[in-house]
Amino acid sequence: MTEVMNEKQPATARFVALHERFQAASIEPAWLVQRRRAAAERLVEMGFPTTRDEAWKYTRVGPIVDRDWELPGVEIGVAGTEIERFTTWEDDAYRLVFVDGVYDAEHSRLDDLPEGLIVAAHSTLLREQPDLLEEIEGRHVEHAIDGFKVLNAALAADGAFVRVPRGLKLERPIHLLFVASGRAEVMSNPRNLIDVGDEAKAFVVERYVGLESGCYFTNAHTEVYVGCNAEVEHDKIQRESEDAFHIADLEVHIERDGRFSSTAISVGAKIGRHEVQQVQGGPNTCCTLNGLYIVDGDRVSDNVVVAHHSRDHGRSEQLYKGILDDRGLGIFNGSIIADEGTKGTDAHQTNKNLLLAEGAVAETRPQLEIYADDIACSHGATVGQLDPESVFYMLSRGIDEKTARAMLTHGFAADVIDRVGSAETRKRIEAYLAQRVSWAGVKVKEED
Amino acid sequence: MMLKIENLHASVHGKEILKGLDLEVKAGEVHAVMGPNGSGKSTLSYLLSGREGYEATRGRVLYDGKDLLELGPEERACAGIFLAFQYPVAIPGVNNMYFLKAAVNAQRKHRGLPELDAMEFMGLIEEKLKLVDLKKDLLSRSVNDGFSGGEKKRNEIFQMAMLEPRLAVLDETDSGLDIDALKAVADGVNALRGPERAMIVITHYQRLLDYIVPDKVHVLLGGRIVKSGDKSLALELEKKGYGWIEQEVGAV
Repeated sequence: MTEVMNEKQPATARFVALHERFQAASIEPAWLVQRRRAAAERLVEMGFPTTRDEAWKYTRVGPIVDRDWELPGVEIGVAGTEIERFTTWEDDAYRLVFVDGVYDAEHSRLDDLPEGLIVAAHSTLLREQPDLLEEIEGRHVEHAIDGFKVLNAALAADGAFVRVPRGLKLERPIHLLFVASGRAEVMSNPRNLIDVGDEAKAFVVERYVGLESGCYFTNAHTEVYVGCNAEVEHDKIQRESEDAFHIADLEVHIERDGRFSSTAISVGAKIGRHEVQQVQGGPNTCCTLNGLYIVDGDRVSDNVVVAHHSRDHGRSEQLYKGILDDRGLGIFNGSIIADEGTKGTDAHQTNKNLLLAEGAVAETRPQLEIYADDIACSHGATVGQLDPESVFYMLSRGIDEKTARAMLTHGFAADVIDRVGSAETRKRIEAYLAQRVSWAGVKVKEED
Repeated sequence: MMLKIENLHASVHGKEILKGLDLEVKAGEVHAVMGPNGSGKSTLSYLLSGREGYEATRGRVLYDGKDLLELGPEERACAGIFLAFQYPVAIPGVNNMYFLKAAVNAQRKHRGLPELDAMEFMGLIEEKLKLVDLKKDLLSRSVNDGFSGGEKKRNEIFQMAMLEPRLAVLDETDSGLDIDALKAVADGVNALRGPERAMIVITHYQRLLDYIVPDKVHVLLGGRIVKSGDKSLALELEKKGYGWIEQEVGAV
C-alpha cells in the first residue's frame, strides 16, 4: 500500500497523517469514525486530481496539496468586532458563524426558530441529536467523487446543518458565514447539509470571507436536498483572501416538482473552485445555476457545473460570466447530461467571458452528453473584450475612461448580480465591483 | 466664432476622407451639412467628437479659439460638444438613468459645479421630458437596449437636452425614422435652439430640414464643402440631386 501511495501521489500521505491525528484526539460515534476512515482510505486509493482529469484540466492543485496544513484548533482567534462587520447587515437572518472552521456560538443567531426548523452546527448536533446526523449523512449518495471531496469527508470538523420541515415556508434567510482569520497554514473542511422538506421554502446564503491575507485553505462540501414541490434559493459568496485556496462543491438533490436556484459569486482566493452538481430525484424539477467569477493577478477561478437529467421533464439553466484581468485564469466547465430514455428535458447553458487584459485567459468548455431524443437544449460561450464603440459612446458624453470601463464591466455582470437573492448582498457586490473595477491594478479592501 | 474649421484634412485607417474642409459656425446658428454617401459626413462628426482612428493630417479646428483636436473625447464633451450618433450603441446592463446621471455629473464636476443629488437629478429629468417626447420607462431600461430606431434617436435628443451642450452635432439623426418620430426628434431639437447654442445637422436628405430650419446649408462633396447657401439650397438639392453640383465644381 505504502509503495503504491508513494508512487502515485505522496501528497495524500500527509493528509492521512492529519486524519490519524484528528481521529486520535476526538471521541465520535462509530459510524462517523468509520466514515472518516473509509474516506481516508479512498483518498489514498484515488489521490488528488491532476490536470489529466477532465474535470481538473486547467487547475493545478500542487500549490494546495504539496503543503503542510494544520487543522483548526478549538479557540476562536478573531476579535468579535471583526466578525460583527459581516453579521450586522443581514438583520433578519438566522445565522451560523464559523471562524477558521470552528463554530462561533456567540455570533450565531438562532433565536425565534419556528417549530420544527433546525439550524445548528454539526458539532452541536453531534452532541445533542447524533442519530439525526447519522440519518442524513447515511442518505448521501456520492457523485463524481474526487480527492478533495473525500478529504472533506475524512476531516470535516464542523459545518452547518439545516432542516426545514415539510410545508414550512421560511420568510427569513439562513445565513451561513465562514470567516477565515487569515492565519496561515490552517485548513478547514466545512460540511454543510441543508434538507428542505416537501412543500417547504427556504433561502440560504453561504458566505466565505477572509479577513487578512494569509495562505489558508477552505475545502467545503455542501449538500442540498430539495423536497417535492419545495423551493430553495441559494446564494454563495466566495471572497476569501487573495493568498488563500478555496475548493468547494455543491450537490443538489431535487425531488419531484422541486425548484432550486443558486447564484455563486466568486471573487477571492488564489485558486478558487466552485463545483455544482444537479441530481434529479424525481421528474419535473427546475434548477437554475448562475455564477460570476472575477480574477486578476495570477489567480485562478475554476467553475464546474453539471446539470444531470436522469428523470423526465427536468429544466435546467446555467448562466455563468467571468471577468478576467491581469494574468488571471477563469475556467468554465459546464455539462448537460441527459440520460437515455428521459423525456422533456429542457436544458440551457450560457457562458460569457470578459477579458480586461492581454494576459488574462478564459477557458470555456461546454460539454453535452445527450443520450435522450426528446430534449430541448442550447449552449453558447463567448470570450470578448469591452466594446470600443460602447466606451467611445460613454466618453462622448463626458464620462472618463476609467469610469466608462467600470460601468461597462459592471453592466456585463449585471444580469448575474440581479439574480442574487439577497438585496443587501446585491448592493454589496455592486459596491465591491464599482470600487474594484478600476482594473488598474488598484486593490481595494472593502467592507464586505 | 464658436467653431472654426480650416483646411481640414483627415484620414480614417490611413485613407484620406476629408480634403481641405472649411466651416465656420457662430453661437445661435444651425448649420446643415448635406452630402451624398461617402462624402465625409460621418468622418466630420467623429472627428469633432474625438473618435479614435480618425486623424487630422492637416489644417485645424478651433473651438472658442482653442485647438479642439488636442482634447480627448470626454474633454470635448465637458467643453460642451455633443454628438447625436447615427447608430447609438446599446449597452446591456447599464441603466439609462444611471448612465445619464454619470454623464451629467461628470460634466458638472469638470465645470466646477456641485454634482446633482438624486432629487435634483430627477427634477432635471422631469423638466427635460417636457422638451423631448420620450417614453419614461425607457429611462429605467439599459441604454438603448432593445429600443426601436425611433426610440434610440429620441434618447439621443433627450441626452442632448440633459447635457445642454453649446455645440451639438447631429449625425443623420433623421435616418430610418418614420414621420412621427422625425417630427418628435425635430421638435426636441427646435426646443433646444437658443442664442448660446450652435448646431450642425448632418443629413443626406432635405426632409429633416422641413422641420429643423437651418440658417445655413453646406454641401459636402469629396471631403470638402463645395457650396454654401441658405435653406433654399437644400430644396434645390432635393429637387435636382447632387449631380449638378458635382458638374459645377468639377470631377471629385
